[in-house]
Amino acid sequence: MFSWFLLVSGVITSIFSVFYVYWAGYVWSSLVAPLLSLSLFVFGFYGVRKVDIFAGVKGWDIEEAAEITEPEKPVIKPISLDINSLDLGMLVVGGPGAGKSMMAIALQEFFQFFRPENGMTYFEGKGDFDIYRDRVSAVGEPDYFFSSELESSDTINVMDAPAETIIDMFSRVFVDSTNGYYEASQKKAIRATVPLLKAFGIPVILPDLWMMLTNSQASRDMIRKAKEAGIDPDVVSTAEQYFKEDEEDRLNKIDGLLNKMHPFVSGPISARINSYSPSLDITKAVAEGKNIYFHLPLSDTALSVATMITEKYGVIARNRQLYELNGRVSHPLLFDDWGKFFYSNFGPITARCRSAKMPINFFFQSRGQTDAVELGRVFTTEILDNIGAIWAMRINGWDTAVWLAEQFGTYETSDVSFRAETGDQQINVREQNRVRADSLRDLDAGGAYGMIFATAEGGRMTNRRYKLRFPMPGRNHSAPINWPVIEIRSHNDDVHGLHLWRDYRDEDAVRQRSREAVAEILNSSDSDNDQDEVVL
Amino acid sequence: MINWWNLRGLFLLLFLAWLPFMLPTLNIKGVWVGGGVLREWVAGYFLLLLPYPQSLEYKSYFMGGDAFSEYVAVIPGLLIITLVILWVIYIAGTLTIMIQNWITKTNQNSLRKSLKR
Repeated sequence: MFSWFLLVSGVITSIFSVFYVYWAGYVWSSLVAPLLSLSLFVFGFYGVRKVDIFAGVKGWDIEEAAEITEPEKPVIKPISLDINSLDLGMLVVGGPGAGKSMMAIALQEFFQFFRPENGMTYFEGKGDFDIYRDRVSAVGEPDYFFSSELESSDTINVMDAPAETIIDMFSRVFVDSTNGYYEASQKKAIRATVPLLKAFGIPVILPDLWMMLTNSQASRDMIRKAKEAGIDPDVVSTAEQYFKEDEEDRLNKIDGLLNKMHPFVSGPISARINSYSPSLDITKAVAEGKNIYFHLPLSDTALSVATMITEKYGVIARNRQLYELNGRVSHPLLFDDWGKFFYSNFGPITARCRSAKMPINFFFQSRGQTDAVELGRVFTTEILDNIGAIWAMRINGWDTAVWLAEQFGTYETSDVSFRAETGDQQINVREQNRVRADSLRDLDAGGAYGMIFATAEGGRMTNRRYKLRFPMPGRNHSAPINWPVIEIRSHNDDVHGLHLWRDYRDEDAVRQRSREAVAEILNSSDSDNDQDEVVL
Repeated sequence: MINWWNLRGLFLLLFLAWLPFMLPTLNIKGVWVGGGVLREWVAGYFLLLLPYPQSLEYKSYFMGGDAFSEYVAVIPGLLIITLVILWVIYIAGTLTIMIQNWITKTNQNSLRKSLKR
């Protein structure tokens, strides 16, 4: 109101100044009234005008939008989703056909346009070619394409991680936790062997681990080599102690582990995840700001591979936190249709990724999918607390719709009533849900209700609520007509690595080599070797 | 709770202030009464704001002109009075709203508290 008074004062003063100038003529005192009038106008307009300090935010421009912070007075105008909030990641929930994947692609198109040198990683859990085609058409060919199902794929090495991470990862993926006794034995096997294999400092793959666990000759040789190489005695003795157990008994205990591991050692996916010289070194690709596309249509195999890859990103995030102290650039991670891929360690890893400037963007269908991650819905609460934005697209299920509608909070509304006879007025003020659950079920494809932070200078922040329609991904590149064709650059047998699998899988060859080695020693004139064990 | 809309009547003062100055001047038993006295008083103040030569010109216009000239000449002074009244209204209105709403809120809170017991 003060500003309005200033404006009215400005009007009065300007009329006065006309009279004054008329009577006084052009003297210095004639300037006083106009200047005063001008100042009053300036301050008045500045105060009356509702300056939106958050109006100049840089980010993702959305044309079809309405701000619904006050739902009864929606402000319909194009908006910009703040890049600072997008860098905190987002949660997108929507039923089938709601437009999640298209939104994910449009978001990637924005990231590619906004920060082309940063790169991003897209985890696609549906597996449709349409999604790949639209993604390439909007963003371009990914630098790396890994598939759990397609033969033509870049290769990775799931054991290219620190020993502790591998132990955690394999304990989660391969250990059969239905029986406590066997679970402990299987974890013990992993704990005894992985550090030894990694201690040599040369590339190791999962089949090497398999061979060490199942082939007594291989394990004996590895322990001997480790001793010779001067590897940490604790690591060696742990392994030695483990392999001293009765072999049949030991193998019985880890039967479940081996069964779960087997498809990844010799199955169709083995070549893609067990490469000594992988074409996709995830750590390097993230550091170089590459675009990575993980094609992981839901299956038990994809689930395990996804877990291993997610753990890998956890390691990258940790390294970024600890060692990339300056100039850390954002590398967004997008998990599309990922509801079934959540697992128990997903929460800590994603929290770590977020703080390492690797914002996580989840796209899933139902609240049940996040609730299933941890008991007590900890993960659901955690991701809601840690993300920069939440978007509710068309929802099918009532429970999920109610839950999402609640996230938008309430606003104050009032009814005025009066009695005709007496003229008494009454105002009823009440809190009402900003978004009704039912309205989430009536959204068009691409339409969403959302909540996102906007930031301004001086650490000022506000939480904006919008109803909007995300843009369709652009057609910036020619659309592919088939999946990418990726050449396998090198075969495992030809590159540097531990090679237990190659050297020990053929028992006849091992026996032949043993005979040759024994013969060589027997023929040797050096009598000092008589007491030596034969090492292959 | 009240707001400026409830106090809208106060703004009439801005126009009412002009009325006494619009009244005609009468001589009752040798004494001049009415608007002319007020107009002269206001014109005297406006005179002080003008540089000396121009003030003489203004004075002769006010004194020597017809009734219309007198009304026109008094407008600048009336505008200053209006401005002063405007800010008096602002201060009075703001205080009224503040105090009145504080009383209402306190009453409502007391009622709520008593109902909670």
